[in-house]
Amino acid sequence: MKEKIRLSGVYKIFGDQPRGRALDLAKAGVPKDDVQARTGHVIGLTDVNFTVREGEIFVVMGLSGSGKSTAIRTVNQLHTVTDGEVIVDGEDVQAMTGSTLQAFRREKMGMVFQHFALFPHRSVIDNVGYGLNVQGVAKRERDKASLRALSLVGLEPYAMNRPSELSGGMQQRVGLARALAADPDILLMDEAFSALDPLIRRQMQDEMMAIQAELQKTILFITHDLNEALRIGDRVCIMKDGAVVQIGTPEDILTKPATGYVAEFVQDVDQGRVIQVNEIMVEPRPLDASVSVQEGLQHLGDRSGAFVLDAEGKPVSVLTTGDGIRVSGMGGSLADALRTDFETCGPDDTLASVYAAAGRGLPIAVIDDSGRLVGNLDPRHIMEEMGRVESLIDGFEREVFL
Amino acid sequence: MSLISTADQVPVTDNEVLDEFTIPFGSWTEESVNWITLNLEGLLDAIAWPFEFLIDNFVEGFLVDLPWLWLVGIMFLVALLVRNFTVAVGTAAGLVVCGLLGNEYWEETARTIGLILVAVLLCVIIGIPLGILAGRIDAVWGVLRPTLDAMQVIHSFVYLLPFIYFWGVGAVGATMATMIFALPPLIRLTNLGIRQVPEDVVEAARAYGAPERRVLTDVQLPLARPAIMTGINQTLLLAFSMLGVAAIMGAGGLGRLLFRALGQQDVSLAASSGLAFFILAVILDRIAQTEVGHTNLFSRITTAWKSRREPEVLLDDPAFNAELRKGDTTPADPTIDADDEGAEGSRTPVGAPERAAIITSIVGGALMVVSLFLTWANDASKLTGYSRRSDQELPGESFAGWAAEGGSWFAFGVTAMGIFVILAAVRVLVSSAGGRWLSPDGALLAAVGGLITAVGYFVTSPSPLTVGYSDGIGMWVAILGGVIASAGALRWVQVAPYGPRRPLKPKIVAAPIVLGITGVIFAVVSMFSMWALDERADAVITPEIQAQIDEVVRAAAAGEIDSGPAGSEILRIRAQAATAERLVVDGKSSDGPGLGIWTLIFSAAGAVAAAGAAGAFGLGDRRQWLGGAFAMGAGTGVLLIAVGWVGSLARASDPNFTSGVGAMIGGIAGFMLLAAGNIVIAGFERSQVYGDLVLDSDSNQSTQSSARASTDPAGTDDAVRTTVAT
Ligand SMILES: Nc1ncnc2c1ncn2[C@@H]1O[C@H](COP(=O)(O)OP(=O)(O)O)[C@@H](O)[C@H]1O
Ligand SMILES: [Mg+2]
Repeated sequence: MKEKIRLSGVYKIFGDQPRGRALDLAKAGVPKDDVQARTGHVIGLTDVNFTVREGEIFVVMGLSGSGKSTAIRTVNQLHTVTDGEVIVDGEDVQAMTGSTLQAFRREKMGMVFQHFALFPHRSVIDNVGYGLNVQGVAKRERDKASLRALSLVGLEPYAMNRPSELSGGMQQRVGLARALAADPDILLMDEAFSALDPLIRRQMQDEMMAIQAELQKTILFITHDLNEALRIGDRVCIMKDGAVVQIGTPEDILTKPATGYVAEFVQDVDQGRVIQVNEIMVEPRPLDASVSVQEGLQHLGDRSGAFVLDAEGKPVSVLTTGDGIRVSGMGGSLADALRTDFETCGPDDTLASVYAAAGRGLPIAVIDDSGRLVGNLDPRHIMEEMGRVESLIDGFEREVFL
Repeated sequence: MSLISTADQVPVTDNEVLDEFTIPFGSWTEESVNWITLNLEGLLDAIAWPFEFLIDNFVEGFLVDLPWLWLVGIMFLVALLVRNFTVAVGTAAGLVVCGLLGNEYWEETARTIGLILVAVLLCVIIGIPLGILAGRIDAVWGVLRPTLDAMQVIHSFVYLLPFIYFWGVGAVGATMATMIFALPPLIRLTNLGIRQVPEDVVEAARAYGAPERRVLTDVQLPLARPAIMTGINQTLLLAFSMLGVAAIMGAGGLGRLLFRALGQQDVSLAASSGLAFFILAVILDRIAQTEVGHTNLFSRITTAWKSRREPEVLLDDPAFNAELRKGDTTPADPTIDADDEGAEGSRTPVGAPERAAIITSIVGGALMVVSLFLTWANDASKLTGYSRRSDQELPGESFAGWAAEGGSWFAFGVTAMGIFVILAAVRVLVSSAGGRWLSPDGALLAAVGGLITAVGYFVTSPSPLTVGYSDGIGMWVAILGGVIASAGALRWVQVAPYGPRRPLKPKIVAAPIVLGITGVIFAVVSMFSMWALDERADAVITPEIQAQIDEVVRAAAAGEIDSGPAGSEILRIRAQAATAERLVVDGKSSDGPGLGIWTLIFSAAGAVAAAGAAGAFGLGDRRQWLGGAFAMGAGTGVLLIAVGWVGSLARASDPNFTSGVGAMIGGIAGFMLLAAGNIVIAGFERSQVYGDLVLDSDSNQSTQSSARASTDPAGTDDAVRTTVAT
């Protein structure tokens, strides 16, 4: 896939003399706090490298102050960088000045802001058409384009209203329409949905992804919310103290955290996960101990295993597909195939707590308080569930970082 | 002055030692001033040029020479354009009062307006760009800020000095000093306004590729506008106050009169010029105030101009609409309604009975206007016969309404009311947008006011010395017009669809009644107060008085008192003698116009109407509406009678014959009734929009609804809002 935006070796230092000792220290890898204590300069970005590919949603995620806004602002040169290169469509953004820069900003990208940043004194349609206005597009054409963009977000009835007459969610949709109006290749979205309440945010995320599916923009999306990042990102970049910690798909981030810092975030997600065993377990379908191995295997079907119960309904042993096939090949009886070293769990346990147990690949017996079998938990289902990040995140809406 | 002192030097602790170390700061400055005046004359002239040019050509050459009514008209238009009708009327009325104080006052009023405008104009030209620079560039602000701080600490008198040194005494230096004095708030507020603009909004403009110039014009300036307008307002007020001080160094204007009055301890001069000064300040302040929202005529005109090609038309265009529908649209959030504009939008059309009433009103109004050109007085002058002896007998002559000897300000008042009736009628007929008062109640108010004014002229008795006076046809036409217009407007109010803009309070409202009673009390006071002061009789010097004068003369000759005080003492004695001879005519005296009695009668009628409107007699809504309009009409009439008397005498003024304070008190009574009626009637509108309860964005709404919450079951408000929304 073609690369659209590339930051390589980007440093950004805030202060009187950004290119002085502070930069040297930053390049030597001195942590942000130390640099600040020793030089009074704030590190915004330190050795940031990432590439955004055409048509993807690239999410930069990190806690407040980690340099996300600084990073996104280097892309359209609202911030100049202290060191390093910012390349958009093969052009060096830092080299642009004056009208070249303005034309670049107008034509290449639209930006959406955390607090909407609409022009309060202009009507909605004039807000949306501002970029085209600056481009010098004639009013009629501009209004057409603006209305088209507004219709994408479902707001064309409000074209003549002032932004202050709309609710927060609607205002941000106007912000989105403003970014889309000039039909730029790139959308820069800085905490675009963070100021909205969770339900509206969810709706906006869906809307944005629908729009993205239709228009195939390249989106650089900033958030401090890992759930949001995992939900909408094709790839996620995690930042800390101005540095990139990990870049990867949501699955990578969840399953292979690069550092303890990322693991902590993911941990948060796991702990936050409220999916319970009873949501993915299947009905018990116990096995009669008197049948043959072949009959037992037939009984299993496409399941990975079935339990044999005692008189009280408690599981005593388990037949797995693997064991059954092995024993029947050797001509043994069913009793040879049964194993008793299975794991148990309660129906209200979260998936996180059975994660380790599932690692053995054996079916897990779900038992109630009196020890009776109530369900059969297939380890493959757990893995599937873990892999399906979207549905996993769907299960809860908790703000992890604020 | 050597530090290596000899033994007999004073010790350093002694104050006298200071004489030995004098820093010659004063003489340095003098040197520099001298040098500058000698060598930089060209520069000084260049700086003075714009001031000189504007003062010579604009102030002295134009404003001061302009016929006074022209200036009133211009200011009216300006106020109408930048503010609204109410402010415009107030402006015109205030300026008329300034003019009626006398030619001298008028000239200085015009000059003051001119000087203020010049100062403010130059302030704006210099201050706003400086403020913008300061707002955008920290370094500029870093320099400007301490400068401004210093400028504001310096006492206003000190400003005058350098200008006197460099440009001498006179209007040019004074205006410069005024400008410098008035500049800081404009710079500060412009700077603040620019800095207040939210950073992300500015960033948004940049992110969409706006060059810095557009960032300024598209975002920063519009959003800083309220602050800048406030700055201009502040500058204007400061210029106004400084202009009073600058009179010391020879700035013209009302300040000069005040200054003179101060020197001469002339109470009358001080009071009149003070009044003019005050009125002018209020007027200019009002005109220069920031308009909340975009309701002024000027911005409405520009908005209208811009909306010629507004994209709403695109939405109505079916072809384009179809194209839009293709894209899948998320349904809009239904909880937020576009706006409750409905209250303004839908006006009930004019029905046949209403149309008839409106036409009748127009006929009456037209008669009232026409009366201005007909004869009001025959063979003598009713009004100026008091102040001008020669007007007491003018056999064979007749005078039209506009003439000083004819109807004069009474006729003007009647005509103005007639015009108002016509405006209100026409506006409703063509149903274009207009002010609150261009409606049936406004028409009734004006018709009744005009009628009372005409009747006021009729009942005014001519001076006892006047011979052969008879009323002219014009007065009768005016009265007839007033009657017809009143009848038409009355009918109109009865048939017009109407609606309270907010719910009326179910109980009796105290305020109009209190105001009405106060008005009547004022009218009573007015009746017993002086309506005219005749000082034309010469002082009679009785032998006792002559003896007093002789005594003073003798004392002065003997050197017991100085000749100066002696002279003023003699003047005082003579003035006292004259005071004893002057004639005071009160409002009920048959030697005077007798207007005090009528003021009381009309005020009482108005007060009763106001009480009715306030709900005292259990009248229905429509009758309350009517009563309120009638009370306001009575108030207007009483006010116009007072204005008519004062204004007419002022036109043919004799310094020794003046109208009295009784007329002013009568005018106050009129104001009270106007206010009394207004309290009730301001809540009504011609159109009945949503039943009896209409919600709008009126600022009174919150107070009203909270007042109503106690009487109404909770939730009514919401119920109404839903009906409005659906
Ligand atoms: N204009 C600035 N001047 C000085 N420091 C700044 C400026 N902008 C950002 N910073 C600092 O840079 C760091 C990163 O800020 P930012 O990119 O806004 O973080 P985020 O958007 O991730 O919350 C913070 O420590 C912040 O204090
Ligand atoms: Mg940020």
